[in-house]
Amino acid sequence: MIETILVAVVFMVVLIVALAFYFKFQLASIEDTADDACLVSNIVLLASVTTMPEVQCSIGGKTENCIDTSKVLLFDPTRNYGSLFTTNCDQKVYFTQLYPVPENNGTCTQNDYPSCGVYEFYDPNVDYTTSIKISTPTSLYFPLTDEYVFGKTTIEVLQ
Amino acid sequence: MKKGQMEIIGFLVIVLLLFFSLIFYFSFASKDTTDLIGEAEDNLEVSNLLAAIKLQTVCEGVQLNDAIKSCVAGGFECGEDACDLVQNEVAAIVRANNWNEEEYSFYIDEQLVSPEVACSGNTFVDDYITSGEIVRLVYCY
Repeated sequence: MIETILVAVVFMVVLIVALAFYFKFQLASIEDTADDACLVSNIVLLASVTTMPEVQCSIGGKTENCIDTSKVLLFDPTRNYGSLFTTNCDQKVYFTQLYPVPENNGTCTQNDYPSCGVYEFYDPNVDYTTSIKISTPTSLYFPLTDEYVFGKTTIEVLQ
Repeated sequence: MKKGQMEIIGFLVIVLLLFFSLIFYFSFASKDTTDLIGEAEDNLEVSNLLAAIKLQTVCEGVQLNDAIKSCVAGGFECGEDACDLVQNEVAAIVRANNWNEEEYSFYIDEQLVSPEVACSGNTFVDDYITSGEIVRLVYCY
């Protein structure tokens, strides 16, 4: 009788360890899937952010595939744009001038525009431990000088 | 220990081994071997880079697309040969985008306007038509 109980106890212990191992693996798998879904939704955002009327160039009523720096400059990056960004995780969005190299690489304000390098569009000011940067080439437009320069749109996915 | 109990233990060991084997099988079988996210990013990068190249201002009132048109016509822009201007500006933009010379080719119709590259890997290509000529950017990876 005691031997049968011991066998049952050993079996239960091994089964519990096996189940714990299985659910741990499943949890890791679900977390990976959630991270992938977050990244995919931000890549979709990366592809579409340059076509948002709030920042897209519009010259003589005709839209172009570029970012109007004067529009971005007027944005408050800390404002909540929940209705604009339909991704399922937090992110920072900014535009950087790359070529020609700007006079300074600092964040643009109305005082140093256009001699600056980084145009912040969205920064939710949330706490995060790590971030993944994804970026794509973008043309930045300066309406005052009617000039297009090369830059990039960067989305920093916060985790 | 009775013989029957030994057999039950043996059976349980086999069941557990099978259980672990299945977990390992599904964990490896479910690994996606294709990098779809990376490919989507690269594809988007080539497309947007070509769009940015086209718009780039090269001197007052002249965009790179105007220089490409002049290059097709064999003309000059911003005081220099249009094809040389296109080659230099495209190279500068591509460098700013952190690509090496060996990673891209830029064609105006069939004329190569970038360093010669022997691409042995895969490519992403994007193009557009201006002045009846196809302008093509090829990214080799």
